[in-house]
Amino acid sequence: MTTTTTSTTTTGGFTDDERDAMKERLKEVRGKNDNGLADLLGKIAEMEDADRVMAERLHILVGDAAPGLAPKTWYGMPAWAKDGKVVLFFKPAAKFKARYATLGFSDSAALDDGSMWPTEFALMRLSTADEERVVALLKRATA
Amino acid sequence: MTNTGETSEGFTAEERAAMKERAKEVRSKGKKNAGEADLLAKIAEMDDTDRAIAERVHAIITEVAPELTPKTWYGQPAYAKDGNVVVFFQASSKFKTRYSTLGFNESAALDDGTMWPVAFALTRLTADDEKTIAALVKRAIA
Repeated sequence: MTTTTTSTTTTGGFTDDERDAMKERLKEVRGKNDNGLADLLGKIAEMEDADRVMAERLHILVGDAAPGLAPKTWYGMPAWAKDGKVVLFFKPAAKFKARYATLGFSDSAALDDGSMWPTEFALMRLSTADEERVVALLKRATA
Repeated sequence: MTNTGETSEGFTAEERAAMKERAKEVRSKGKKNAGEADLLAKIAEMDDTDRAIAERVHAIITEVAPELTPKTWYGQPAYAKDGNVVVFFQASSKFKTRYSTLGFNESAALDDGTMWPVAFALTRLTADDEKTIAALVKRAIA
């Protein structure tokens, strides 16, 4: 006798959120397209309010402070790339049900400072001071 | 027939390897005390630069946060509280990045205003870096 499991059940392995992120990544890689900006805006529009407000501001800050970066999506997250390589990404809090969103920089970002420097930041919201900090990071990252 | 080392359209070989390791970890959950042995084995496999950093990080974390449980997470050294990973080390060779990463998850109490660092690039470990890491880990579990 067989029973079918529901599609939302997590069998001993990855969480549903992890599976979703992997599927989105596969879709991105297979469906290479030139609609990076549309993809990014689409993902931002789908977010819950708190995440969306931060992502929208971040998108504006990137456009101002690092206009050389190209918008795209990466594992279903908004990301900004140089020469096809992701330089920074925004992970909404809801993505993996975390208590904060994350602003992450890849090793294509020139944030180097000695032998140890921050590459990812938790974000509860974006205060004016945070925006200034993000702008400074963006400028250094793409310097 | 495709070569096994080749990336067909999709995930990179490194991404696939990390996923496989994670799946194996979840399935073997319950086999207790395998955690630290797994972690030390992973460190031993690293190349010299990564291994030197990972060994020091392991020594610092076990000293300042003995209550954290060593384990592996996506095939990398990690330290957990109540089953949740608090802090993890990602070797530079893992995803071929130009530095290793020390990352904290949301169960780490590093909160500071509305924006605070949760992951750090490490190219080597100076005495100052070691103090910074010890302070971060202490705050994380405070």
